[in-house]
Amino acid sequence: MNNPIFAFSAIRRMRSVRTPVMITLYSLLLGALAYFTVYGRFMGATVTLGDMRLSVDGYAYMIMLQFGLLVLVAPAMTAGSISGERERQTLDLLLVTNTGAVKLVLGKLLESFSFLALLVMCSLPMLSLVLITGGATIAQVLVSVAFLLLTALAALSVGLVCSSLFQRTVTATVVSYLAVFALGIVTLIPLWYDVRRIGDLYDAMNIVGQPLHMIEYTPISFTINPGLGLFSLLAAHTQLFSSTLWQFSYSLANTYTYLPFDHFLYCNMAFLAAASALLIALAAVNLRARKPRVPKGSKRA
Amino acid sequence: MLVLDGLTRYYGSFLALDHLSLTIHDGELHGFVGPNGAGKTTTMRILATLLKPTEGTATLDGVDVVGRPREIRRLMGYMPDFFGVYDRLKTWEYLDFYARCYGFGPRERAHMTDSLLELVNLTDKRDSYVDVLSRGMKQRLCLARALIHDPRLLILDEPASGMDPRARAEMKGILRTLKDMGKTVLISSHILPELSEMCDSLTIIDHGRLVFSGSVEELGRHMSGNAPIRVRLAGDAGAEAVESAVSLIRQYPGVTGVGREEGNVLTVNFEGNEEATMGLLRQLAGETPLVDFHRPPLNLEKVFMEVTQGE
Repeated sequence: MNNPIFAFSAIRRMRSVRTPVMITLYSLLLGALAYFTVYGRFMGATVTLGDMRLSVDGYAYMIMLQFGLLVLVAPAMTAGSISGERERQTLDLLLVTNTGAVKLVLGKLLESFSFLALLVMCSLPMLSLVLITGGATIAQVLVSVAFLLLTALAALSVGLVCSSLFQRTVTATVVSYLAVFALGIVTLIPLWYDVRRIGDLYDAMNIVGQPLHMIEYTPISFTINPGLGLFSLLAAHTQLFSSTLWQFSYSLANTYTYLPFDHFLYCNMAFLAAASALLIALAAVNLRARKPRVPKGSKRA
Repeated sequence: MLVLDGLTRYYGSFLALDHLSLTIHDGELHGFVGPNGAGKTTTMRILATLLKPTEGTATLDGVDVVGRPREIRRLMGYMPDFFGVYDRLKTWEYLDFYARCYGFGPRERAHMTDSLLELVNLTDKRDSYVDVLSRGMKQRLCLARALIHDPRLLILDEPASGMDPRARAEMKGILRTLKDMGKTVLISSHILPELSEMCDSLTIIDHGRLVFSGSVEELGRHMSGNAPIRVRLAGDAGAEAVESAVSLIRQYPGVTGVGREEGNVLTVNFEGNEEATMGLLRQLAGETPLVDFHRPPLNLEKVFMEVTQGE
């Protein structure tokens, strides 16, 4: 890719001591989780069907942990990307070259993204354990990785926009975290409405005798909340929480089996991608020099 | 040719630049002087396409700075008054990075990086990290960066600020080289004498308004035309001789006042052209024990203070 911003940010990141430390910590955390939830259980033991179930849970935990880590790390990575250039007084030097705001913003974003992608790649050997012990297909593992990467991209874009909006990195960082968590919490509000709809769905099933028009009952909030996206992913791939729901309510667990979690997941991923694109464009627009207005009441020559 | 026409810029309700118009010819080393907050940086940032003016236009060889910024960026190199460098990046990589930003290919870059480092005397720092260079070196490196795309116009905002005398001298040498290369240079400073030594022409602004724009000689004539003439009579001349000299000078047309200082020195306030000055000198030489007759060299510091008086 012929983007100097990308190339040189990457060089500088790889020269930093923090980078190998982060990669090591990330791998160690995931490795420990993989060991205790999957690998350790199968060492020299006779494998039973129950163990298989546990290995799938381990896979789910690994994805949840990565999701949490990525959402936690991503906003801070880009929150300083443009405001940091401003604070370091290097932004003007970039803007007077003919690089252009779009290339600048994309270079910054993709460089951070490629580092997070590297972290996710480091997790692949651990995730792949589930392919040996059974419970998920290669396609499912790849979809999980794609979901994680899209989540990271969206969180990075939020940081990027804040970085282009605010003069100082501290402000940009705080606001981007607030924005990410607001997205996670505010979008949960329609869940109450969705739960009622699932209840209606169950009633309809009882009357008709079989689940009909599942897509019509797609909860809206599932499609825009990344946390519920994660839930849909795990529900679709591993039936996670279905046994918990069974204990809670037979009817809900029954509905759970019929809910189109795959559909929710792909809608969620489409939303993340669209939101990222929009935020990136917004960040680029923010970098343009604006024409000031003549203040009211001032005399014009 | 760089033409500024009625350039105006507000920050909120604060008027930073008030209808500034001036012309800078090709190949000129043009000094841009004014006290802090006069609007120098605002003007330069507008020319560097980083800021849009509220009103007015600026054109470089007919290309509109505001309307066609992409073309201007290709023609213009800009060095800001304050700038930072990246850490964990080597000197040659720093230049290579900006060369890539300007869209140059790897072959051209390798060549231009080395020749620019040579121009600014940093060849031996090629593999040093940029953030450990001294201030003067960073400033020279930043100048090299501004030159990467071989621009016709260079906009240098206080390139010598914070430099020690030796670094200043080196910077002056580099600027002379650039002038010899045929580049038009707009260089700002809040120190007039520093610029008048090396610039062909000067612009003085204050409170966003133009005070003076023209060649250094014009500024000298403009200001020294009013400077008093110092006349010294022989040390052993009696009080009588001095008195008669004073009355003689007083009677000369154009003289507005004569002051007496110690050691038979008179200061003459005189408004007259060169011919009139010559006449006065002849008369004094013939009729008084004249030892010395001259206009003291222009004190640029004083001129600067005079022309940029606070309101």
